[in-house]
Amino acid sequence: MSEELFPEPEWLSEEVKTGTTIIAVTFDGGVVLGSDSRVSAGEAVVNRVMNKLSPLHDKIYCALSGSAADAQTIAEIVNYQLDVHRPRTQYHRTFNKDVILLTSPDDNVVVKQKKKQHLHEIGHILNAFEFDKAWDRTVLRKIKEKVPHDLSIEVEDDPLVCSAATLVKNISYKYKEELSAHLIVAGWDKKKGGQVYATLSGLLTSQPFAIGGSGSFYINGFVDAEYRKNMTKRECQEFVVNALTLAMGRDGSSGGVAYVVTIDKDGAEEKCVLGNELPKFFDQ
Amino acid sequence: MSFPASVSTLNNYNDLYPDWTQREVSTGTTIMAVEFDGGVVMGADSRTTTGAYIANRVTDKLTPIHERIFCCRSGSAADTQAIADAVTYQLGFHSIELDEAPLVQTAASLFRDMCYRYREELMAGIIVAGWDPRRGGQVYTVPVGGMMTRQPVSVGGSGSSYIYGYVDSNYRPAMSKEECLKFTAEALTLAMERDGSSGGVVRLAVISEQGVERQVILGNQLPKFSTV
Repeated sequence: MSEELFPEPEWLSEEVKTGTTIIAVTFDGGVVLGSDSRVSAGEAVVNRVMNKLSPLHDKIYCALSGSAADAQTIAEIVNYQLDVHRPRTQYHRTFNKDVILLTSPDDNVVVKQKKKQHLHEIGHILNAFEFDKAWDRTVLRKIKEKVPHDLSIEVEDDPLVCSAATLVKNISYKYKEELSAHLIVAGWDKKKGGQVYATLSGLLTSQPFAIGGSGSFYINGFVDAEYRKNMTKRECQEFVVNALTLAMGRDGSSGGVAYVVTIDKDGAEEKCVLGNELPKFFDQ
Repeated sequence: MSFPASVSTLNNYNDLYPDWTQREVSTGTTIMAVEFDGGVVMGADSRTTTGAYIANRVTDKLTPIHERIFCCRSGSAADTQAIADAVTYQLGFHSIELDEAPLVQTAASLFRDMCYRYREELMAGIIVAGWDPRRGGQVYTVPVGGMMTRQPVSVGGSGSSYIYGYVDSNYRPAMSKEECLKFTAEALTLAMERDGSSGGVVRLAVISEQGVERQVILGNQLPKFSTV
C-alpha cells in the first residue's frame, strides 16, 4: 500500500544515459575534443560533473555518448586492447577476436589475411599477438624479431588512431543490436597527424570534425557555418567551447561544465571550463 | 481518392501502393522571422512532403493574413492552411469594424485561440510577424500546443533544431534590414542542408511601414558553407 502513496521515482528504473553533446575537431598538428558533463536517468541528473572524454591511449581519446554503461564498457575494452602497445611485453592466452595477426611468409605459419599492405594502410594491423589459439612462445618470438619497418606491427610504438577507431567500430558493429552508444575517436599519431573518426552504429569515417549526442542536433548549423580548415590550436579550442555552450543552452540532457582535451605530438592536455567561465550568447 | 480494403494496415509499408499515397501531407520545414527597427524579415524553405515524396518543391509558406501581417506555416499543410484562412477572415472582419489596420498581436491572439482550442486535433506551428503603427515590427510565435509569445527572433519547423546554435550565436539586437536578410538566408540554408524535410528555394519577405517586399533565392544562389 505504501507504493501507491509514494510511487517509486522514475529515475530508479530508467536506464542511465549520457544524453550529451560531444565534439572533436582537427587542427594542423593535433585534435581538440570537447564534451559536456551531464548524465541523466530519465529526468534526474545522476552525475553533473562526469568527464566523458576517456583515454584509449596516451595520444588517443574517445568521447562517449548514448547509454553510459555501453559507452564506458566499449572504451574500457579498447583501452585494454591498446594496452599491449605499452613498452613492455605481455602474453595473453585468450584475446578479443578483433585483433588481427600479421606474420611474414618465412614464419611458416598459417595466415588468414590476404592483402597485408591493404590492411596495414587502413589500420587493421594492431600488433603481433595471437588470440584464441594456443601458439607456443617460439612463434611469437620469431614474429617480434622480424618486424619490418614498413609495416605497423609495432609492439613498442604508439598505435595509429585509425587502429583504435577500428577496434571501437568492430565492437559497435558486432553488437549493434544490443548496444546503443556512439563514440567519437580522436587523437594524434606520427603517420597522419591529428585525426577524428566517427563510429556511429558501426560505421567508420574520418572527418575534419565530428559532433555527436542529443545536443549535437542544435549545433549542426553552427558548426557547418563556423568551421574553417587550418584553424590554429587556440581557435579550435574556442570553437569547441562555443559549440558546447550553445548546445548546452538548448538541450535539456546536456549541461554542467565543459571538458576540453587537446592532443598534439607532445601529449594530451585536459582542461575543465566551469559554468561561469563559459561564453555568453544572446539569451532572452 | 480511396484505396481498397486490402491495403495492409498492420504494416504501413506496402509494395503495391507507393509511400506517398498513405501518408499525410506535411510541411516538415524550416521557418524563421526576425525583428529589426522598422519592420520584420520572414523566411521559409519551399518543400512540402508526403512521406518521402516531395509534393511541392516551390511551396509558398509565407501566407498573407492582412496587408502588413504575414504568417509562416509549419506542420500539417491542411491544418495550417485552414487555420490561416479562418484567421484571415476573422481579422479582415475585425479590421473593418475598427476602421484601421489591425495589430500584429491581435492576429497572433486569433491564431493562438484557435491552435489552443483545437490543440488535440491540430498539428500546426505558426510564426506570426508584421508591422503595425503602434508597436512597429513584431514577431510572435505560436508553436504546437497553442502557447503564444513575442520574441525578437524565432525559428520553427523540423529543420529549426539544427540551427538553434547558429541563431543563438549570430543574432545581435539592433541589426539593420540587410543584416537581417543575410542572417535569415544563411540560417535557412544551413537548416535546409541538414534537414531532409526542408529544401528547395528560400523565400523571404520584408514587412515595414512602406509595405511588403518579397524575394526568392534560388538553389544555386544560396550562400555556400562547405566543410570539404
